[in-house]
Amino acid sequence: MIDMNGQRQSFPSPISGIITKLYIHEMDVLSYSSIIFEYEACRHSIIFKNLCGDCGIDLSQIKNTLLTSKHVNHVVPIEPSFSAIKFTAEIAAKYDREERNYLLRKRKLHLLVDLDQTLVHTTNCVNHYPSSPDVVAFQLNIPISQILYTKLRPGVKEFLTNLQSFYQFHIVTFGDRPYANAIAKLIDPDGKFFADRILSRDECVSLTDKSANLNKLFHCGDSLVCIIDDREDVWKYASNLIQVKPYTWFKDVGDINDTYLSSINKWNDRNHQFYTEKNELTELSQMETLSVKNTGVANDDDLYLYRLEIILKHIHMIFYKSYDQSIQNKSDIIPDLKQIMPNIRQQILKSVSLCFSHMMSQDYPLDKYCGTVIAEAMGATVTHDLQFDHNGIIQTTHVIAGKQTYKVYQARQNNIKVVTPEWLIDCYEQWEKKSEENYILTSDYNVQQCKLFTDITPRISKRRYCEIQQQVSIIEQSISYQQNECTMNINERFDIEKKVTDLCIDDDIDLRPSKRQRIVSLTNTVNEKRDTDADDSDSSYTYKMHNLILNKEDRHSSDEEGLSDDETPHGWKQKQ
Amino acid sequence: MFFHVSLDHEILLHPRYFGPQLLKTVRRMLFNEVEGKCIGKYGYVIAVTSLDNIGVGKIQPGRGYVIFPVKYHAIVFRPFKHEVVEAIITQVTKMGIFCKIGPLTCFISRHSIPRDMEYDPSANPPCYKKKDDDLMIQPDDSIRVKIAGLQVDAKEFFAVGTLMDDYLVS
Repeated sequence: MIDMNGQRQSFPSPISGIITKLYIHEMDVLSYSSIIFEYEACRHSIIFKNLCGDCGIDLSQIKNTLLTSKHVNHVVPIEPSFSAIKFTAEIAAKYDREERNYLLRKRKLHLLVDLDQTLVHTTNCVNHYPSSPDVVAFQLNIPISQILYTKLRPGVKEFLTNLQSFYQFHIVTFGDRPYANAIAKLIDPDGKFFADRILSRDECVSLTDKSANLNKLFHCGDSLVCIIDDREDVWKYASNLIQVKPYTWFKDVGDINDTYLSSINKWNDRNHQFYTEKNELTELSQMETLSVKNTGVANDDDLYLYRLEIILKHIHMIFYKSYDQSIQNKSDIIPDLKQIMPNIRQQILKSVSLCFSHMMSQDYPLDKYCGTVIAEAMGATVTHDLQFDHNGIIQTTHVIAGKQTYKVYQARQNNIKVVTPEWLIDCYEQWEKKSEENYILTSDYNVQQCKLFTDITPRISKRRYCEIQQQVSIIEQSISYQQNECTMNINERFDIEKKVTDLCIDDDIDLRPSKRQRIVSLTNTVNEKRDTDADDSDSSYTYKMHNLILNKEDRHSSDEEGLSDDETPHGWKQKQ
Repeated sequence: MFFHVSLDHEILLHPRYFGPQLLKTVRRMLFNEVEGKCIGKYGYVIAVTSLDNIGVGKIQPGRGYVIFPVKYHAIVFRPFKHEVVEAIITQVTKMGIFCKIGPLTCFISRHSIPRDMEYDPSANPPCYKKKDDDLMIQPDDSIRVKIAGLQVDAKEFFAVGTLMDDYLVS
């Protein structure tokens, strides 16, 4: 500004803001009280460590003034790596919208990726160290750090490279920041997949729940977000989650000899290329013996990521198909993956009707059982019992059984597929209806190891249990009595049969499994007897009864079909 | 801005160092404790130039430790508001740019970046660039930035910068 004396003067402004309207022009002569410009005060929309990113004012200094009172709603950063930066919701949404438009333009989707047991498997224990050249040992750059061993899931790099044009990857992990960065560097040394999009435990809102972070990451909705994780609970069973098959590489390999340990230690030093050839040879031979010892561990035949890639591409295709449709219809609605993904999942076991047998305790509510939940998520109908329509034609298509039960017997009679629960799990993880042939239930199948198996103790009183036991022993006695007598009138027989079926109407009450097994086979025999009744051959019936008793005794000695004591559910053991 | 100033420091010494090497140890400890650190009033101590005086050590009652008052000259870096400095970019995000002015971390918000420079998320690493020009802002580049605001923490300074002025950026 030039004053009357023709001297140039400048005035520093006591306020900061953006000029919205300028009323004066060059060479204008100002008079007193003329309006020069209108301005808009700085909104302090970005804050870096208490400094406004736009005007540079230290907000902690003016905290008590009116200015800040309306700017209290600052949220945490979109970019999780910079927790020092805070935004107003308004600007965060603006950036987020920008990013969404960018993604839509590039025809991409967000993919939140978990690290542990999804893309990699890490251990800090040398003992859990099966031989593989792919295992990387590293130490974090923090004061107290153990050596960590990480194995990448086979095909990780191909997986990311192939999906790069379809998805934008984000890491969301419960590992802490140094760990997350180290693993990201391991998978992605150039930073072309993840860049800075890493959210670690340090920035997590909750330590048990990853879904709470979604709002922080995506301010204008998570309709483009797809999640892959090996655990569903941390995402609160979100509908846009693909539960991947947990990747396990390090297993309990038992005690390894000391030479093997020392060879690992040398390997850790990453000097193994300086070894003499002899050393390498011995190391190799040790590895070989070890891999023989742990068959199935050292052979990494995990092909899940290839399947996952197909699933994700399919989801991407469906999403953009419906997006294109909505563009054509000139509607602004962007399709939501939270609806699209369940729809795709619903197709997997469409027209399948299944029921469970020996997978949970009888009191367990069917609709709360995890098997039911995942089966229904895949579009299957779950029933409590075998389902017949009014013509007597069986509706149930699959029985998922943990053991040979009466229901299994019934199902086999009706030519229904009886499969192990792994079938259901594999269908759920691989998003396709697996061929049942590989999952046929066999007698030596151990259901206790299956994660769908729950053995929560049924809430049955001890007295009731004793009563049942008594009744069972009475029935057994009466049967053995008949074996001696070789006679039995039909009424008596039906009476027994009724008692037996009353006791084990399939899943109404719970018996000690060994007892129940026995009763089931008893019932089976009695049923079979009814079939042979037409021939009116009492002798065959007696023969069967005889066999039955013999079998039962056999079972006791050989433990082949009946459950041994170890197999009894925990609750029962305690009760005894 | 850099200054050559006279500073005081107190060095707490464990009795195990008492011996013929005592003064050498005090000297070494001073370099260790002071250089690279930030003193709220004077800024970052870049280098100790001369050790003027090592005072008489006083034994702490009941502890055995000794405190030596030390006077020294050092070059300090004290940033000021509205100062124009050279910086090296460490990270480029959609919210803005992070850069380092020596030990000082500086953030340049997107609003303080010239409007004609657009954020390009597809580049690896992401960068800001002008449409018609091949002028680019990406990590490890050096830029000229004006400090718009400063915050003095207990141990660190933080700065907010701007590129919206003449002769800035590069």
